[in-house]
Amino acid sequence: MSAAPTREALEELRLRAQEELAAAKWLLERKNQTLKNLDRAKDAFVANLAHELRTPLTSVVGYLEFLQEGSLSAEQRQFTDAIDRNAKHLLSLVDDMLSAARLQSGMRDMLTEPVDICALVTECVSDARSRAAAKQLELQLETCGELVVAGDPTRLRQAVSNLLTNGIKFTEPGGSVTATVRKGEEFATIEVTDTGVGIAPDDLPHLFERFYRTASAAGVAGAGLGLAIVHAVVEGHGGSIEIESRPGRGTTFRIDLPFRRPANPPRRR
Amino acid sequence: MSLSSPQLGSEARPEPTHVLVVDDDDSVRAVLADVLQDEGFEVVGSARDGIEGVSLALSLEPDVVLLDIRMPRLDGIGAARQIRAELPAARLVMLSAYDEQALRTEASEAGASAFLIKGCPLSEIVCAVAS
Repeated sequence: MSAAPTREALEELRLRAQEELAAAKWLLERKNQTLKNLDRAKDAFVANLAHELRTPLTSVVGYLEFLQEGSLSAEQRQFTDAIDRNAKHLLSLVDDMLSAARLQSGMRDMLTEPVDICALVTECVSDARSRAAAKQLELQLETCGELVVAGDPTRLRQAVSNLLTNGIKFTEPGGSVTATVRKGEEFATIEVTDTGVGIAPDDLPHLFERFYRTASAAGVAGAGLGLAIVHAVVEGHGGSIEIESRPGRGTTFRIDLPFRRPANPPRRR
Repeated sequence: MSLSSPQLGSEARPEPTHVLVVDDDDSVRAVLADVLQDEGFEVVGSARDGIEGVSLALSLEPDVVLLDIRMPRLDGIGAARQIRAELPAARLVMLSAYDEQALRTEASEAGASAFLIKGCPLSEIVCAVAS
């Protein structure tokens, strides 16, 4: 039978454990700092890369417009249309990358000015009409007269457009996408509902993470940044976003924007 | 060209503070050296116990010695006394996992200018070494 450890031995063990705990805490703090630095370096790299890509791409799209204005054979027009489509797609990906990189700065540069949400959503729906029609989708709008919140119109437009784009992307021909604006007591509520493929419950907690792609997004163009941008914009305005989805039946994104923007909106974690 | 003209690229930079790290735990020495180098200090050496620490301090003459208290062969308090006797200009920063008043008093009497608890934010170590 082994002897019970002496009091000194126990004290020695306690002291050693305390030392090891302190060392582990320092190591963890250091690793954490290293990860933060890497994350910042990655964001700076993505922002630089997106910026560098944007300049030549804008030039491609611009010169292509000149070409398309000239006389082209049917086959040449088919080719230039394909180049135009793909170049614009690339441009929108690059813009998403730039926006996502900017979001990391905590939306510090967001404006605060009166924005009529009804007019803004109406414009976004109008911009999305041709894309919905090309996919044989019904695009509906239910809005009220005027609903003013304090916010950044460019960022809010981007958020609503991203939700509409998402609805259009993930809804089969014959389905519908509906944008609704409602006035609440403290919030302006924007809903975008589609009759699309829906989102699996396992995907919901990750939906607003940057670069997250659901299994149902396989084969659908996108970088997994659109919803991350929406989330950051809404949080930057002190609002909230909810999702209701049933796989195979469709999805509703609901944004509540406060009429008065808080002085210090929560930063994205 | 006058002899006293500064040469290109040789603008006077302040000499970095030289630091010696003394701790019997490999990972603690590594993390302290890492964070101090990042903050612009020059870690001139590291030692695993008090005897090695005293010996390195005497040969390297660092500006600051970071000393763990609980170490084999010679503890940090004993090492601090010997270093203080030979290098009165060197600042001694003591590290301990235990916050006990008796240890603080002993460290102070041995010539320590700061007493930090292991596991504290690393920024506190940086401040203690810098000040």
